[in-house]
Amino acid sequence: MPTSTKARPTTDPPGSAVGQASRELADAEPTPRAAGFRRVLEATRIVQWEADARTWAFTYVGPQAVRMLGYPVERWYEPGFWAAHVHADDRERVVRFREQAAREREAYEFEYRMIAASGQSVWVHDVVAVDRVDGAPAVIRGFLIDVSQRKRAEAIARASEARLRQLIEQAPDAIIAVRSEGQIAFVNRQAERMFGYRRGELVGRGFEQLVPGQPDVQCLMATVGQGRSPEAGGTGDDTAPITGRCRDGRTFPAEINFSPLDTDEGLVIVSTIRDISERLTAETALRQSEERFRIAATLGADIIAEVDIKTGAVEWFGQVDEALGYERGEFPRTFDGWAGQLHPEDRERVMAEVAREVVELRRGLSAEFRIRAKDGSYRHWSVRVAPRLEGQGRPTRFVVVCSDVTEQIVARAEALQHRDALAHVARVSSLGELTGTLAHELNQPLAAILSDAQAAIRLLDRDQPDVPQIREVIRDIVADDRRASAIIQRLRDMMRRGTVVREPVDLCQVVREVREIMRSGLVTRGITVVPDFAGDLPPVVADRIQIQQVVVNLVTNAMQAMDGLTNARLTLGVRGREDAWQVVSVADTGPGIAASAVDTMFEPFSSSRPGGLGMGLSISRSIIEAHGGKIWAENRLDGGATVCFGLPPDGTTGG
Amino acid sequence: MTDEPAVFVVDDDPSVRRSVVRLLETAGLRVEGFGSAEAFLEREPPDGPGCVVLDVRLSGMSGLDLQRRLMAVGRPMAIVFITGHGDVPMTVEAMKAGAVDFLLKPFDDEALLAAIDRAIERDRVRLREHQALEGLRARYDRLTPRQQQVFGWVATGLPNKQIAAQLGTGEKNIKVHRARVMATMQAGSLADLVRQAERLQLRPGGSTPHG
Repeated sequence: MPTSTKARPTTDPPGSAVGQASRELADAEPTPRAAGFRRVLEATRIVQWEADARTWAFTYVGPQAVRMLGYPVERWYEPGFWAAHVHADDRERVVRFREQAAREREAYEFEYRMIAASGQSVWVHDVVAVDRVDGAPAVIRGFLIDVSQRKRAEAIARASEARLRQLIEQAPDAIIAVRSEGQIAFVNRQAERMFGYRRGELVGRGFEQLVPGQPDVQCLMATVGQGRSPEAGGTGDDTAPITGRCRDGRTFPAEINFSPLDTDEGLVIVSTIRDISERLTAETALRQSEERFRIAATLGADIIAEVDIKTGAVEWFGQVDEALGYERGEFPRTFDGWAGQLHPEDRERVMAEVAREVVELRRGLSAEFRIRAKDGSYRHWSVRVAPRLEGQGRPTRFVVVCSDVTEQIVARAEALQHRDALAHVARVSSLGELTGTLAHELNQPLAAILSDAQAAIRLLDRDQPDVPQIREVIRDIVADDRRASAIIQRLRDMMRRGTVVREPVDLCQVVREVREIMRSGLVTRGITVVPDFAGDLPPVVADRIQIQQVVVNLVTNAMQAMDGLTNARLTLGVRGREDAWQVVSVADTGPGIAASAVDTMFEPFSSSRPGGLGMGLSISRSIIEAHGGKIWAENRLDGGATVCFGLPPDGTTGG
Repeated sequence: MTDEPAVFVVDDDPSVRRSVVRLLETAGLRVEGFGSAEAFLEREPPDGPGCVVLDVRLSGMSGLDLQRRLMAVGRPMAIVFITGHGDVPMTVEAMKAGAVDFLLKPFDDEALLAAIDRAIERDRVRLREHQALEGLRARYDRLTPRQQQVFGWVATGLPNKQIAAQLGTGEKNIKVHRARVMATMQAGSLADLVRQAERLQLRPGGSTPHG
């Protein structure tokens, strides 16, 4: 903390009352008048003192010294007391100052810190007069005044001024102080930024250039300046819209607020300016979305309900009555009444979800349910529910945006039917492709049966039939008959149109069966089949026939991709994944998938084969996706394509 | 050399193979079964007449491939094709290549046995002709080079005088050679000799394609 060392000639002449009193004290012969002054002085907190200007030893110290520093007066008379009790940081400076001042001046003042008996620093103001004998200082006298309080107050004032300055500089609003004549006295940093000027370019200029052509602003400012308040009691709450103009000519919407401030240099109007262009944009957007909301609601695209949780009152926006075939105002305006119109199978689920998600957890929710129209038919509604959150705790209201999705649901159901029909057609048409194979497979056991039966007849026709041998032949006949039945059963499965059956399916078994069905086609084309099955896989829940269909499609594609190749190899894999999904892969050594086909190969009618319908992979995809699975294809680095599909263990959803 | 015919059943379906082998055994035939064309090729060719009951679709070398291979290595065998699902082009190809019959599974035992009988009969004929030709070649090989030359010219029907002129010798010498040829070749007449020359595919001058 800087020490004030301002010295100035004292205004007290040497013959003043105090100086007189001091001198008389030194004479030790007090006059009644001197004694009177002394009492007055001793009644104040000012410490009088007198010292020898050659030794600097005190020759007199007033009794207030005890209160000021806490030392007994006798201590002050010890040689060197004063210098020893000046604060160490101030000592060198004040000792030098005192010697110089005593030599050169009649009187001087200075301030420094002394150390009190308690150890605390005490700021003192020392007023000193010098008595000379033959031009040399002989006696010095003075007063010590405790100014610690004032010093503290000054420090606080300095700190708070710095804080205030910082606040003003960092304010989000532009702050511009304007003198009554209209010149700018001060701007803060935000003002520089907002208007694009540097501080030096603004101070001293007219405020008018920042808000040009707006006489009402000038007028308002003048009113504030003259009446100190434009309206009764106005203390700066008056905000006016203005258009600010930047240095580059750009203008922006803003709000201005004036408050008058009396200063040493006269009246100053402090204006606070806030750029509101962002707020205006947001307000416009809000107005627009409100408008859209209103239009959407009245057009009936959406029906919106606001539900008061406490009272159960429902306020409908949009044409809820018309949507459900009621007269205007007829549909219930209470939440319970509304819930009563939900399909009994949906009601409990939806209400529980709303109570848990929206009311308890304060979250949004999407739901679908059926709601009864006046004629007893049901409409499908898809709703989004959002709580209106005001503060903590449970919401008091929530908003429900309802869309009638009946048409979409019907369309979706039709699409599902179409897909099933298409899958059936594809299955039957691929049966056509498989007919040769299947006939061959079926004729194998039939041939064996016929030959065995005829052999048995021949054996029976012998004079001494070999019964054990005949029994063996008949056993073989039975086994081959069963084999034939199994083939026919597979055929029937593929022909059947029936509903989707979800059952535990061993994917390895499915792939093995397909390999059996297609064996002859594979053999004819000279394709080597490499099975790559993981052992001990649990069954997955799926429609066995549909999955078999997919594998047949993939194997058929792979066979066709390898048509005419030597060393054609087909790898059939079934693997388990860590997430319990199982992945079936069909890998060929054909030319791979053309880059142009990679993205579209699962789309309908995307066959790369002349004469191909292009339905196989798209149907495969719809089957796999209906099982909650995924199908994908990739080219391998070593050539050839791999088509894989993965199924979740529980066959998730769809149908 | 045994005259007992042998039947080879080549089918990769074990139960078909087993039942066909069994049926043919009950019919009193000597039968061997093979699971693939490759396995059959490893077996020594039979001495006597025989036939192959051959599945068209085999894993590995197909039935038609085996048929071509047997022809190529000079081991022609009478073949009865059997198939679970035949198409016309496949049948035509097989028959053109000399198959005896083409039976669709399931086939009646009578049909199979009849086809096998025909095949064995055809193989017998082939075998006999083969053996006759072998005898003819052996006799031809016993002729002197001069006699073989004369044989070649006689078979063209040229008179002795002109043959003598061709060979730069006397008509009398040609007569002597001609008589030796007739005797060695066991030909009863000139017509016989001409037929033999045809079978030996003789050219004038007396060399056969077989050297």
